[in-house]
Amino acid sequence: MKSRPFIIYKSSAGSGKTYTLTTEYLKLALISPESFRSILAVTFTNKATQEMKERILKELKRLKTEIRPDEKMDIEILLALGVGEDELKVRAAQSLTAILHDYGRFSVSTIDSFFQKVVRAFAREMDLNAKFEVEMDQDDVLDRVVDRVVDKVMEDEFLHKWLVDYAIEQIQNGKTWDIRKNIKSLGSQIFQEGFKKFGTEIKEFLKENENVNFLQKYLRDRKKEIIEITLQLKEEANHIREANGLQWTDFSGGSRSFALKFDKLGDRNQPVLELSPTQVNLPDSEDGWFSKSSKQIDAIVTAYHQGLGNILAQFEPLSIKWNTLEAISKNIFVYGIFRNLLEELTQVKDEENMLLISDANEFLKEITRENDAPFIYEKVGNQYKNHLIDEFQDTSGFQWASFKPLLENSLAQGNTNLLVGDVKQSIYRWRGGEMKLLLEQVESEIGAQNIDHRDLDTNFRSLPNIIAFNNALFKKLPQSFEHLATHSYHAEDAGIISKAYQDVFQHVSPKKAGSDYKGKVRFEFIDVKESEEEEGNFEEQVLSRLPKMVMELQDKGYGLKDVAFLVRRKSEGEAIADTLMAFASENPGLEYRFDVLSDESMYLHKSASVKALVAGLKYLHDPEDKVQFKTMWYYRSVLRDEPVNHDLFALDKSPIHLKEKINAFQEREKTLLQLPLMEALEELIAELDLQESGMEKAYLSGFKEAVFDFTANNRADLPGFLAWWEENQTKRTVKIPEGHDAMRILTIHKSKGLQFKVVLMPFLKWTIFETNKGNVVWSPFEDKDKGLNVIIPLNLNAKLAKSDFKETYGEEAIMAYLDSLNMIYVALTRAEEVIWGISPFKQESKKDISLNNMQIHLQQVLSSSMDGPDGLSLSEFFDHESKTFDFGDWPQKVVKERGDFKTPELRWTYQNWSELLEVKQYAVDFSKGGLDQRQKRDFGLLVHELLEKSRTHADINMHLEAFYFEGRLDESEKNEVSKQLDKLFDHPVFASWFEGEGQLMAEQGILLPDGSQKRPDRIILKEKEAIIVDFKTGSEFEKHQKQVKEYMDLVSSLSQKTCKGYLCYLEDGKIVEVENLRK
Amino acid sequence: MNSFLRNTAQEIIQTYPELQNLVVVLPNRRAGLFFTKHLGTLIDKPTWMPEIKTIEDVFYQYAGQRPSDDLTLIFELYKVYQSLHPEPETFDRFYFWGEMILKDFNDVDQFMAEAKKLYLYLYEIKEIESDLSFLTDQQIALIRQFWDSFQNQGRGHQEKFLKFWQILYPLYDAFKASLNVSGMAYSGMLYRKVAEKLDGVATSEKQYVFIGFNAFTKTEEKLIKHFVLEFGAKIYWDIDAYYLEDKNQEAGLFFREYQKDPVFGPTFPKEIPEQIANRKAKIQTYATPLKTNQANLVGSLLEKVDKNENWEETVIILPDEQLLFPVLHTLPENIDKVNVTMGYPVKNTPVYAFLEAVLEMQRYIKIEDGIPLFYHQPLKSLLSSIYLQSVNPTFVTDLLREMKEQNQIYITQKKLHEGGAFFELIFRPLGSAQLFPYLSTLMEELAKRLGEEPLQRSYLYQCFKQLNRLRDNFEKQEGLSVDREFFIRLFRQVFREVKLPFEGEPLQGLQVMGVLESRNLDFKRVIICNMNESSFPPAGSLNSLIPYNIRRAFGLPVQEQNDAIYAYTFYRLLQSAEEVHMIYTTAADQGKAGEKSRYIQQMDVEMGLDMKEEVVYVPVDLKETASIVIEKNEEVLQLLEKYVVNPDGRSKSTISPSALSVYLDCRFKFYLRYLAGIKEKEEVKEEIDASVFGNIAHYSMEFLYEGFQERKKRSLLAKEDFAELKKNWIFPAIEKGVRKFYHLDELADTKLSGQMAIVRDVLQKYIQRLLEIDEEAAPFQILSMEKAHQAKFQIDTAKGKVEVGLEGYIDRVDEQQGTVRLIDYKSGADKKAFSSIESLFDREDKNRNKAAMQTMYYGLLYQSMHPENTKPLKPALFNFKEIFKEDFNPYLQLKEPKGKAEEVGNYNEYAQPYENGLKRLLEDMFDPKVPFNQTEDWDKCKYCAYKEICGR
Ligand code: SF4
Repeated sequence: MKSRPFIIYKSSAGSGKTYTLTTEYLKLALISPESFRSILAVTFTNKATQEMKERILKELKRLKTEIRPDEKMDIEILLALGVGEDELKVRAAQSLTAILHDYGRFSVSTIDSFFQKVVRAFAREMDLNAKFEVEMDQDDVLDRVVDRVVDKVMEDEFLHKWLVDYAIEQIQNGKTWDIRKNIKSLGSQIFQEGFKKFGTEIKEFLKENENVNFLQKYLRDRKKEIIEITLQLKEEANHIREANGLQWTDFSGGSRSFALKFDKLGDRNQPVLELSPTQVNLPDSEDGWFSKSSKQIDAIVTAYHQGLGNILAQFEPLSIKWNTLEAISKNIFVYGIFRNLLEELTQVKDEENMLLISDANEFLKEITRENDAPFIYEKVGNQYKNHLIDEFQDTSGFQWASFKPLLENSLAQGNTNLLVGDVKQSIYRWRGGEMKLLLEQVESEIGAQNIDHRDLDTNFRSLPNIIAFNNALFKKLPQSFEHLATHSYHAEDAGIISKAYQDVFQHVSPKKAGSDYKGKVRFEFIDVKESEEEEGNFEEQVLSRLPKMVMELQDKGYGLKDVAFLVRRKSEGEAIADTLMAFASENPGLEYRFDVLSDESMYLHKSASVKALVAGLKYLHDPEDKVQFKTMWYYRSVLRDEPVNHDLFALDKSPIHLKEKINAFQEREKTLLQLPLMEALEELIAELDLQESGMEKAYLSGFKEAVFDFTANNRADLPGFLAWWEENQTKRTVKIPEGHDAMRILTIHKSKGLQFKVVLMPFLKWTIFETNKGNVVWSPFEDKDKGLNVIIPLNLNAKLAKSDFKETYGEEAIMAYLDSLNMIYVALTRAEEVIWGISPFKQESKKDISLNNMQIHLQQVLSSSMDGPDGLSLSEFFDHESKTFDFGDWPQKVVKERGDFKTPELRWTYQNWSELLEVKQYAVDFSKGGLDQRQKRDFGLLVHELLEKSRTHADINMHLEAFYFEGRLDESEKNEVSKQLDKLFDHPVFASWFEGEGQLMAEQGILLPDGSQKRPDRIILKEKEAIIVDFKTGSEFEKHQKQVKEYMDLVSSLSQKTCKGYLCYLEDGKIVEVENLRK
Repeated sequence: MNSFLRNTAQEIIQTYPELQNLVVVLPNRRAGLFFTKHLGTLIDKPTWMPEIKTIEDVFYQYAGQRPSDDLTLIFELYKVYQSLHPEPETFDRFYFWGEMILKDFNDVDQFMAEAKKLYLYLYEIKEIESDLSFLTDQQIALIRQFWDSFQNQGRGHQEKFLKFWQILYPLYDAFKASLNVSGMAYSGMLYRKVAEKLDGVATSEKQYVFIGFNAFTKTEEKLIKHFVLEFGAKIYWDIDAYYLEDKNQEAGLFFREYQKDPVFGPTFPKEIPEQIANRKAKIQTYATPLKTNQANLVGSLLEKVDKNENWEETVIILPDEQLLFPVLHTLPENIDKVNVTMGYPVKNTPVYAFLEAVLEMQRYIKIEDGIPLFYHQPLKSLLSSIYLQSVNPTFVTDLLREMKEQNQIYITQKKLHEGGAFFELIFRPLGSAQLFPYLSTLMEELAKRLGEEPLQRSYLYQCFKQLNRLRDNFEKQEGLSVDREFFIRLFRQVFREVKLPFEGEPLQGLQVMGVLESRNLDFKRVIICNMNESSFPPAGSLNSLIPYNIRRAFGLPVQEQNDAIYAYTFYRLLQSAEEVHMIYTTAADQGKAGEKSRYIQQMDVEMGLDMKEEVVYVPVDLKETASIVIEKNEEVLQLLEKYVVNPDGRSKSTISPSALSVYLDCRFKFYLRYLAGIKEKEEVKEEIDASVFGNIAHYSMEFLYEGFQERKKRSLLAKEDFAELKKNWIFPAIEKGVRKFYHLDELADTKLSGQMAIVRDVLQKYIQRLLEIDEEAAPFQILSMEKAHQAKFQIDTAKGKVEVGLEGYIDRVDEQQGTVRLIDYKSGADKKAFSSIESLFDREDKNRNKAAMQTMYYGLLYQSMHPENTKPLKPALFNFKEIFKEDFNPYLQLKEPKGKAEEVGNYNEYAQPYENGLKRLLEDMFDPKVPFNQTEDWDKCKYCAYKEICGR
């Protein structure tokens, strides 16, 4: 056994992470055919899970027949197992079979689904309901929670007062009185780990309304105090000034003198102004208080020494205090009702029997804390010995805390465990990912001596130029970021940035090194005037360049599949998709193709068909809503290229060609509403002839799918769906199979783990530290004197830098910088051959340009980075004239044959199936007849049903009981039937059919050669004779006799016995003997 | 086509000519039907039918009893549980646990485990260990392993686990005892009873044959063995060498065991059929990006099938029942009959949705002074449902309209009952005692009204049956109170599991069925949808409270057994298939990855077939929507005439300032609203949006000063008047304002819900502040409030000069220090500055000041109503979002870019340019050459009621 069974792989981009993971997995799995059962491999997304599984199976399939002596994987496995090639083949075959036939234990799963599995196993112990549903849509839950809280206003005095105060404060600041939006935005914190970390303390604090009131009072008092102090200072200052015969404008700066700030002290909203960077040193000495030419220098100096200097010195501390109080006040109102939010949330969860996806982590943490690993796995039903965790940089603190005990237990037994990750690719901090775990924390918790660090530092993905470029860029960029973070945000420990990037350097793989083509990197900087930029000029320019770029790439021999657009925001992707699709349809003659596909940007609601359908459904729901009615027909006309004019829109009119259609539709309205949602939709599609146009099928299908998904998870009614659609339409996009030949558009976040020959980043610009987004951080606040110690939600904004929370602010700043750095790292390392980006250009000479954005850092590094002892001197490739960075050449054009994309045909025509299908009817059911029987309490048919399937009286009762348990009858009805039966049995002849001598052929009829059956209700074969009985309901008919006679003929010929036939009318119990004519 | 049932029928006819003495036992009824059908085709003269049974029938017949339904059993279980558990949870929380416990007990009995030892307790393990000798060492090891994990005892969850675990055996024991007393049973209990007393089973005179079984429970195994040994029963196995002889194939798991068994072994055929290997069926796999596209694909596969095809030989297997209707919808015309055999969840149907909605409505009923009031929101959904619509359409439409127009938040019961008997039935507040009768009457009444809708009726009937059970159970439980909330929860829990069992009969046409329904049946063409992990086979969730290793130790089925059963159902389909289409979807949802089924993977590796996979692609194209332009044809021009003043000095309609604003914003919007006549949708607004808030504020101010004038009999307000106004009259004015807005009469209660209550208090602050502002401006004289002002305005059109009628309501006109102020209250943050009079009519101007245009318009109107006026007319804006500013100033400011601001002191000074601008605008409107087109500025569309039309 190895001495260090805990392996941590640091895997830079393209370093063959999946390959490594697969190798490691196989090393463990191939020990014995059953070994795979005790390995748990955890990935972050469903997709990664899939890929991992497929990869493992693929390698096993290969190893089973072919060992490659020069393949790293094979070498390592052979070595680790200590076996020969033949043996390895055998083992691979065995393991493959074992996995395929015990697939349920092939535990490669997402962290979420693994956690859920465990939580389910502990549902009882965790006081959860047995069949909870996992709820993903937390926003929706929050909406409901907030509405419920607001509705409680009348019952809860504290809440009432609190919310009214809040609304009033809002309006006094000129904001909206609808406080719900704000409550929701901060309220969403209750799902976040940031909040949950402090959950217990916060709940404790909020338990008592007094605490909140106290906090509020504290804030008010302290603010008042500051205002009083500043007013006093103002008075003092003016006093001194006057005593020296000065005006504030006499001080340096004149009419814009800093000294005017004295006069603004004590303002209710801003009692103390901030000193600008050039003013901050003023309190220290009289230097700078007067202009050299001033005649009142002496007076000013005197005034300074008499106290103005001291007063000015108080500006900063007072301002910090004030900012602190303001920061706390900002959220105090919403914070105050967190308790209510949490209470309602608990109730909602309970009522609807759900587990929020965000709860799973928390629960699991508790489970692993409360239990030993073996017990946990006993309950889960699978004992894992080895854990392989992928994308570890995205693991959250809670997730790690949950996993740790399991890992420790496994390590203690000397089993191998493995983490793989790359801090540089950590871009999921907003979802709770904590890269510090990988960077340092795990090591310090587990102990360095137990850990075997391995670096994967060869890039197998990209061509040499791409790698060289990234090596050079990411040597500089982190420095540039770190520098700024330290200086602008006074961040204490910006070193984390360079630490994260210390081993960013990658080697070129031998295979790529040998390639003829070396790769190309190109960045264009567009000089957009500031004024224009606001108007979206940069965007416009970029979009207008896109078609040409795409054509150029095709000229260079790249296929559509090779190209990916990476964007920061979905809206950018949307713009790209729209532009290219529009260009394609405006220029049908071109020999280029512009097909794009995107899971993120091609929204269903863009399509005319979907618009028509949604409008149709809305109209059905509310026939008074004529806007929808018109919308529906309008889009139908659009799809069919029919005229759009006054006739179409005028309220009580319709174009002649539509008249019939509209009439037909209106006749169907009622029927549509009675159908299950999914069917109503299908009918509506047919009604509007949407499939006929042959267009927009992907959109139509997508919309159907949306309804399908909705019905699967919700109460399937129309209003419910419409509300859901309102919320979800911006989430539903067209889905296209992977292999399709089209350019991809995706956000950087989604691009993780993928690679493309050409990466285009047409919107390469973003703000790094976004302080206006209102992101929330939780921070402790303490005032010892007043006995206050509380965790406060803070909105990130620039003012925090000058408050008691500046450390928190600084930390956030660094992390934001690291996020951005990682983002660009991920983006630029996706490329195999070509990177092509466009950014706005900034004249560097300008003094106050903001450095807080990505593009300027990029521009600086690209245009000025010189050194490159072992690498590239980037600035050599930057052309200042054209503002373009261009490194490397295009490939020699190779015309690749376009793989024909064969795809099965689909059927789109609608078919009304209701005629094809028959529904079986039963006695006293809700069919017309059944209802009738029900009404008249006529159980004849039911009795018939009972009699025909029973042998004995006891049987009958048993079956009657079964009907009752099915719910077909209630207790009183059951008794009634029972009585009716008893009456029948009173007749000895009747009774004899059930308990007499002879062989009873209940339910056993006679089969005829044509496959048909003759089944009299009773045939009793006695020694000498056969008895045939048929039960009837209703009145006597001639044909009844005929039927029985037929039976009698059949039976006597089969049994060779004489037959007696009876008809028994169940309502009155009348028994009729049927004459046998033949005798 | 090869068919197991047919082959078996053939053999049986040959072996047992006396069919009437035969009992044929099959796994399910459906297999029985097919078996009989095959028999029928094999005989040449009339023949007795054999007795055909399911294995259940056999057991229940010997037990002389049938099991109770689960609901009853869970109730019964709960009763016993309550007596054992110190702090039992409520029934609805218990429900699912109960289901699980029941299932466990059922397993324990089906597999004849010794419950006492299974549920043994940690500290007993040592004592009892010697007693476990009936178990193998391996089994003991499993038990031991489980309890070993308790070594570090005393932690929270283990304690909890043990506590609960401890109760399970007593529960099992007491539950059975209690069932025995009441003459009830669950199925496992009956099975066990029969299996334990086989010796008592009388010798059967009939010949038994068991056909097509795979996985026996222990009790079944015992019984069948008994029949084989004692009564010479025969077994026909539905098997294939492909999975039987390869020991890795889980599909053959059970058969391999039975083959080794001394009793079962000899019943296997000498030669195991090798259909799968020999047939070499054509196998095709497809991947679809969306689930519903599977249906489109099925449709196109069937389309290609020859018309004369015998459809009975084609089956569509739907592991996900939800796909049923999409598939039915895409069936090609050449199919004339469909036979569906599967359960369809009733919860997807509108009838069920309606029932649930009716129940949930109960939550939102308020009783005030004995009068039940119904909350508008759930009510609205209900009223718009077809079930109420169709009963009394006019009533429903009228009521909905009234609710909207009057913004009614609560509707009285009386009002609702005007709809007729059905409405009376539905709209009632329910006490817990009435829940059941209410629902069952409702269901029956609903059924009567369903018309020719056999399916809907069946769905409803399923619900009705379930309700009956629930009711009977509740009626029998004394201790169990039916609290409404509790009932609703339970209703949901229970009913969401109800399925409508489609029972395909007769056996004609295309066969559509669920996975398990296909047992023993053979088809030439097999199409399977949802060939995804988690669908086929379904996700492994062994809902059991008995830990895995304990289950294993006691021979209770675990996931492996489940997997084996599904694998068998799958591979069995290949035995006769000549053509297999497997469709899976790559769509991932709700944690389920779009992973292809393991069977596809297995076949890929093991069958030596060249399985190519086809990927379904749906073309992604988008119809370009051109922008909308409505030309002014004769008809449209005619519509505009309504604004023109006729010779009688009147116009049919007038142009309001807001109409002008709309026209400036977007010509097309103006067209839609004022000419096409498409009204914007009105909704009951309980959510206090800006317009509601503004309206109430308007009314409140009006009432406040109106009241003042009435009380004091004067319209002059002096500074001194305000103290009293502020102190005493704000609240009543708001009350009245709210009433007016919601069309409530004087006496109606205005107790309002959440958001409304907050708004009322907030409004108080606003009015307070408005009064402060007025106080400062006092004294002033009120001239009018909310009064309509008109004017005629001449313009040039293609047809010459015409006069257009203008009109507007001025919120307040007052006179202050010789100036007439034209005051407008605004709920927003409208600006008061504008750059030029021209800019007010410049539709391209992003900062066009609507409010200034409007208040200036009032100047025009006022002057035209009072031509004698010589006083300055001063427009003023009280915009609520600014009134709290310390330096609030209500007057308009003309401020040219970079110029100094100039306060608009008198409209008349600006009348000339203003009227020029207005004239140009109106002429634009009447110009036949200027069509109604959409605005270029998408910001305008953000809150436009027509944005759905425009797609913006
Ligand atoms: S949505 Fe926009 S374009 Fe359409 S009517 Fe409204 S404002 Fe005009």
